[in-house]
Amino acid sequence: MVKVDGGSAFPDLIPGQKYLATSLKKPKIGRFIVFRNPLDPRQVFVKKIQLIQKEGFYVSGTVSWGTSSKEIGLIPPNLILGVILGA
Amino acid sequence: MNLPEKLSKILPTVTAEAHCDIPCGIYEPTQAKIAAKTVQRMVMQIKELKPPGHDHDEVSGTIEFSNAIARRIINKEKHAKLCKKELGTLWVDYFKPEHLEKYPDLHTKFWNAMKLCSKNKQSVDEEAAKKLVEAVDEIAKIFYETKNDPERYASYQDITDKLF
Repeated sequence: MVKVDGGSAFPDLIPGQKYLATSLKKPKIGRFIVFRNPLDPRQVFVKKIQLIQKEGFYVSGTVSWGTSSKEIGLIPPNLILGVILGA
Repeated sequence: MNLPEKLSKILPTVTAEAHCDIPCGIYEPTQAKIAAKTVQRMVMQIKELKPPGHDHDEVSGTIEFSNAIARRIINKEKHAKLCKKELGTLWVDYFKPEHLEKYPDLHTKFWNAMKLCSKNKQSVDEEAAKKLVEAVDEIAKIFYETKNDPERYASYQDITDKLF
């Protein structure tokens, strides 16, 4: 289960709500993934996949002012904890 | 209780951050610096103004002098207050706990700078005004470092150090 903290994925993900995530599903464009921040693995983020490149996944929030891969870099597959279901 | 809530009773839950991360507002220390420089300018002018001599019409001279001083005191008061407000916004809204890891004396710097705003309201003190300007510069330098944009600090200095 993943509890979302913050509004950068609103309205797809509602702050404070819990979502089911699985590591069995393949990350695809448009899906939200839960992953460790490549710059600080203590932080767990949830963001939407915008592009899939050879080196990793380009992610962003749903709002233009949220952090994206522009700041934190591409997300390598080994840092992905799961894919959110139903969002 | 919806399905995710029911499942969360039996499955482990991890909290994932979906913070906006980049602040929604526009934050910029230049306004605080302009206010601090205005305070400094008013202090300099108050110190420079001389009361009318005896060879002038005493009443009109005193009124003119009092008016000139009062206007500068009001401006000093207003801009010291504005500087404190701008610093408070940067401190509370822009800076985040992770910035403290790199700048452990950040709270002290803000606290001292805001205390200097009060000091400049209470007094007409060139040294206190100079210290306020320097305190704002120190905070601005940290601000631009957190933005990874040292060139903007140079631009900030270029603009705000040439105000008078």
